[in-house]
Amino acid sequence: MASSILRTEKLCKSFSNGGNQQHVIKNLDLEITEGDFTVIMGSSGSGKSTLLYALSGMDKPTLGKIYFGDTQIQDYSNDQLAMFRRGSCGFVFQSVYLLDDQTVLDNVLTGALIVQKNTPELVNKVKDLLRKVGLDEEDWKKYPNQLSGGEAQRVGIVRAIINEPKILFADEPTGALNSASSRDVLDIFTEIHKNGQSIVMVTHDMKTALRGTRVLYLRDGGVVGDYRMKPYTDDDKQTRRAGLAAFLEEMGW
Amino acid sequence: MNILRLSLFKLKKNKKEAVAIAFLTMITTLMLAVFMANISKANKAYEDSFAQAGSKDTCVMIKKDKFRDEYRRILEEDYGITDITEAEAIYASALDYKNKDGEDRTYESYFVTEKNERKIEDFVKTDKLSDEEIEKLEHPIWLPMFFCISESCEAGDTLTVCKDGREYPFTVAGFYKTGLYNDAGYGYKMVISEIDYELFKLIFNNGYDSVYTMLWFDSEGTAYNDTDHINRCADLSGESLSSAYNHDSVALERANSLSFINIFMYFLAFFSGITMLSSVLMIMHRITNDIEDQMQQIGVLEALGYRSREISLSYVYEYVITGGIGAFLGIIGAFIVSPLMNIGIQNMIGRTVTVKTEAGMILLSGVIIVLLVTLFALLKAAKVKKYPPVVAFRKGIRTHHFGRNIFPLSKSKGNINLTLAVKSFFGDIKTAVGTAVCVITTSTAILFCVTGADFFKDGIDGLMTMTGDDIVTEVELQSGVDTDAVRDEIAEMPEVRKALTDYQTRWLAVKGSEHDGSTVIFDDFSDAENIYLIDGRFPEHDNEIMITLQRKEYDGTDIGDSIVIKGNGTETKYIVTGMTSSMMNNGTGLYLTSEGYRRACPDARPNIISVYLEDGVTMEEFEEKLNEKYGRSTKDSLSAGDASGTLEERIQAAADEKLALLTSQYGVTNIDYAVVVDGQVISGNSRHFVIKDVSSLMTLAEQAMGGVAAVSEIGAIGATVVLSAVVAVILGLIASSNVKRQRRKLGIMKGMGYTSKDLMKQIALKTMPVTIVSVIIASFAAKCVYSAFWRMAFGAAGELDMPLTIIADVILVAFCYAVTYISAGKIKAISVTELMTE
Repeated sequence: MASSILRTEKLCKSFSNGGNQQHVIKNLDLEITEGDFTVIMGSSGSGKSTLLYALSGMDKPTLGKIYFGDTQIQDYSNDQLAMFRRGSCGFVFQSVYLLDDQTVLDNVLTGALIVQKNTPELVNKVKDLLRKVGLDEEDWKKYPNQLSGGEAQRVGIVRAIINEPKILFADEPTGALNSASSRDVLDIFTEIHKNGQSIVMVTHDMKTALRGTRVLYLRDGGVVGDYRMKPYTDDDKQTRRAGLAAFLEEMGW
Repeated sequence: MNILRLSLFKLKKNKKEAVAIAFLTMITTLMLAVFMANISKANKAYEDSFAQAGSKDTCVMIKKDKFRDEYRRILEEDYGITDITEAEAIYASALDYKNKDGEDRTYESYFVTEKNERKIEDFVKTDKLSDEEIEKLEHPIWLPMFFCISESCEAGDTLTVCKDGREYPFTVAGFYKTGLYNDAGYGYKMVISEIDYELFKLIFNNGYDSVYTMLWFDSEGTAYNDTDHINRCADLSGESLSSAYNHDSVALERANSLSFINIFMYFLAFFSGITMLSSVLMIMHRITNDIEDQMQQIGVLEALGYRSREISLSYVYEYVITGGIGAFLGIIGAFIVSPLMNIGIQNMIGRTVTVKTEAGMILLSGVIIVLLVTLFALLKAAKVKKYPPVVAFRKGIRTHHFGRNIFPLSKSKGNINLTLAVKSFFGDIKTAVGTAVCVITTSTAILFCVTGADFFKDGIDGLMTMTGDDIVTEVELQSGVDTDAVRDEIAEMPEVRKALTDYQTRWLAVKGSEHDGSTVIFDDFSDAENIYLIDGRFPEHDNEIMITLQRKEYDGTDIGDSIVIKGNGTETKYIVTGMTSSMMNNGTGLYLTSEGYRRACPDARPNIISVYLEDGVTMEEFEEKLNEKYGRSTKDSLSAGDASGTLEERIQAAADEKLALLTSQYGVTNIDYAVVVDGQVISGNSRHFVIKDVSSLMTLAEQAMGGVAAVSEIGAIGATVVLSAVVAVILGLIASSNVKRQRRKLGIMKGMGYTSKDLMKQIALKTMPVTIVSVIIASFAAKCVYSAFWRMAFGAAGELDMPLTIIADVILVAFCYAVTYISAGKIKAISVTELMTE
């Protein structure tokens, strides 16, 4: 049986809004298993992204506990959280957030060199990964403004996995991409997952959610549905789609 | 109105930056206003004091026994001078006094009677005792205003003249206004009674101390030249007047008194310029950053119909308001500081400053600063025009052109924070250049001030290294004593580190020069510890001479040239072998070997031993040991009236007192005596007197320059602190605007796992290349400025202390790093989620 990689107990996150407290996550108990491709879905304002930021140590919860393996991280200082993120997590953002003044290669290395030593092996590994996601040598010297949205997101994925994180977080990674680019990016996620990578992804797109092995549905700050699927293959698309659609319909999506 | 509201909104948003810019403009305005409002005050005080005293602008004094009416006629006929007033005065060089608190003082002194004073000036009395009180005074003295203003002396105080061990107490009847002779360098003229004057005539009649005939006249606009006059007089009479002629003028006293004030004032202007430059660069840097940062908002405003001129003005207003507040505060500061400056200037020149604070000048300074801020803000804000709405929406990017990737990370080695900092530095060269200019100018000033503070930290010790003469303990020997033998004996004393033979200073005429030279004689100049060779080598042979850099400037004489010294009716030629630097005697020194000196002055005999005491040995301890070895000096013997012991011992002590008086006051070289008491013959002679006097010029130097040294030290420390604050503000602004501009990038990096400290380190490291290079450049600049300062101010060659400069450089770099690191702390406030959801 696979072990738990992330677990929350009574997790709460509130925001102050003009003196009023807005409770976005409410007493959430959740367990994410190692090797899972967990997809978090929900309507706008349901707390998807807030939950992702809290789980990934990007933001601190208001109350409750977050266990990463056996370690509680909810009380970490900002610097401890930074160390946690660099050592254990990878991130893929909807807006990609590449560094504008650095080339493709340097963008990935900026993420890598904070953890690893600069060795020819590391540089070769970055180059191999870039090749794997379809970026050849000509692209490596390009700056973010010279890339298409799909290309930029592929760089973002390589940057996120270069340190071999224990868990990869993705916040609507295909949200700003056209359908062809989205498919390419999702194929990469599927490939990474097949290689054993734990992934937690937020999306509002069913096609994206199909790639997961578990779909959590959030409403009013709590998980109201938990749907499990087999790992993605091209063969059972129809069955998966039907099953997920039924689940989402049930959830009121 | 909308534009102004936009500016106020921006100001509210950037409060800290606004405070920093206001601080810089406040400092700039304050320094400029103090400079502009006070620069003419000291000059005006001079003009006023001469007008109020009814004084003429020039005085020539010639020893009365050498004076001839023809000398006066030369002035009238050759130079067209009319209305010459002739009077008489006694001159006493470096005369010792005790003030009312018993503290020792030494002043160049002139004594005149009231009758003579009224001939030459109006004798305008001020702060005096009542006429009845003055009537009762046995020994009244009227002092020039210096004593009232700078020495806190009051009417009724006692001022005691000390001469040859005797004390002559006077009571200060009051003060009077005088033009000439109210200056530490040129001396003080004091008015005493006829009876005291007659007594002083007998006492001051040795060497330079003598009765002089004074000729007072206005030389401005005439052909009068003192050297030319001396030469014409000498040609007429056939005798040299170089040691019998004394000359003073408004120009000389003003130059002497005002040099330090003017240097201080021009430094204020210099620092003001530096701060202004920094402020302007910072404002321009900030506007550029703001425009880049708010590019999309600019596009929106333009799309809404705002004209680029209006948007530019919103930036200009922001800085005009900030600069205006800073200038206003600076003006208030200047109004507070100016009255204090009056007190400082009065104390320095010893004359009353009657000019009120020049409000107009202070306000003008503020206006100048605001105008400059406006001008540069306008120039930079005009950049908005370059961005039409579509370009602004694209954050100013017109084409996707990128330069070469400097420092690709794949080829980097070492710390990632350092690598990213260097990469970022090369990507932002414009800011680096601006920062460099600010850091170079401010660091130059800081290094200058640090060196200055260090130079003055031990009072006048630093200045002593620039006097061009060895200011040590001097033992003057009785004539006829074997100087070399006594020197060797003194050198053997455990209290003494070194003893050198020396000569009394003489003034010698230099052919073709307007400047007579004071002699400095050593057999081997490398033995003298405060005479530094600037260029060439020390004189070694009797036909060689070393001169000062000042004389090089006066006469154009350089190494390898010849110089002809006139003395005793002969002319002696020397070759210049080296250059030194000297603050003494206006840098006129002539440095000769003993043999070389005797070629010009065959009668010269060494009668002084320059003594270098061991560390920790005081002059009093040394004098005590000297007395044990050689008996009391003639000077001490003058006050030996209370000797005790047997009758023979008491008679011998009394006889010694008389012998000392005759030898010291009348130049008697040898006396034998014999007295009979109850059939017993008691005899003796003056040959047991070896030591005539022991003195240290340090006391006089301490008194003349101690105040200047103390003020300079405080000023240098103060300037260092202010300039450091300016550097801190500049770097703080750069760091915080870096954080603001790179907000997105820093947020992304935080998301990747870079800690706030990593990023703060990167921003601080990014400024290091420019800081290090700037500080190195500043060290060289400070070396030049420091050297130029000493040359201009004192004609001396000041050298930056290299070890101290290196230490200061390291501290400056560390300070810059710390300030930037701390200022970049704003990074901590950037949350990753805020970045992702914005």
